[in-house]
Amino acid sequence: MNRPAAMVSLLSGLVVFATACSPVSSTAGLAGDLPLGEDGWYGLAVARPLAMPDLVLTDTTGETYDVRRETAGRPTLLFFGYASCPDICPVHLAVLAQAMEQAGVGTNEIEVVFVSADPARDTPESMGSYLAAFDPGFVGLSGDIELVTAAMRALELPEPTYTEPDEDGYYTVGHPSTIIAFDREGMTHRLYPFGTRRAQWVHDLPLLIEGGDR
Amino acid sequence: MQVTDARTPAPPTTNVAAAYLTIANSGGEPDSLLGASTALAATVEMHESSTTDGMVQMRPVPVIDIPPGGSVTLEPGGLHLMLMGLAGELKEGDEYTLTLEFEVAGTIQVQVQVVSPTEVVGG
Repeated sequence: MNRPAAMVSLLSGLVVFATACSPVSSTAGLAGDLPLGEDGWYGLAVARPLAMPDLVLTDTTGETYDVRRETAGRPTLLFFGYASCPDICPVHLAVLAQAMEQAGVGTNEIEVVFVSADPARDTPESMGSYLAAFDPGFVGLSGDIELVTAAMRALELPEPTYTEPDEDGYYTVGHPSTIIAFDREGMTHRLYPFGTRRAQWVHDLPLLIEGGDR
Repeated sequence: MQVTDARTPAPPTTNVAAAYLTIANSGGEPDSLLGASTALAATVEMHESSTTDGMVQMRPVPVIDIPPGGSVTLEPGGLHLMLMGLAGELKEGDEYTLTLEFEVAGTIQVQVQVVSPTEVVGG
């Protein structure tokens, strides 16, 4: 099945089309028309699986969290964002949280890891209260931005960008709009662009737990 | 000027929130949204998110033009209003008044519904 052009542009810099070299832009942020693929998934397949990046940061309880070790043996959803993001992050996370509740899937079955691309503002404490609004089981990580950037590079994602602060000191962060699903073996498996609907998550979450086709 | 479907997804914290709506210009001349305000937030900015190569960026936009007979939809991942410095918690089911300032149509007040974030991406 052909994906709509807007979908391709949403993902052209990501792992699916890692070799894409002509930048394509789109302001069409929603993927509500994400079709069910012929392979039976809404999530987009990755052409070339990449390993979970080697990333050790601090979780919302202040403990060290080694992403590879903590997620070993469990499917994992990884999202790079920031808590001061008004538009994309809270909607993406809330839809996922509601879908997990509806599907009866807990964070003991699928680990959800939100990595801050804005550690200057996102502390373990502030990320804790932020993520608790979605699901207290979501893991929030912050720490050295160099480590975060290296992890994004390892996943062939562009590096985060920052706007100049306004008079109140507020700035926005450019970050990937896609939630990346990893399988139990810690390899990239499926991609969920911003705008993925609750019903689409509900459909795919059991598939992520089962493993299934890549 | 008709403003419909004004919604704010219930924000996780009192830091920032977004507002989405549709503006239809039924008049015969071009108009522009110049800004917005609400008692609920210290400031309201107009922003546009855009996705390039899988990266989403947000930038402020000075005005939002609405052509005569046309309409503009502010929606997740695109144009939106950003409420900063919220006075209190916004919960699903709440409602607040937003004042929109247009170049030609002047000031228009709309009621904004605070909804589940799931609703703003179509369920």
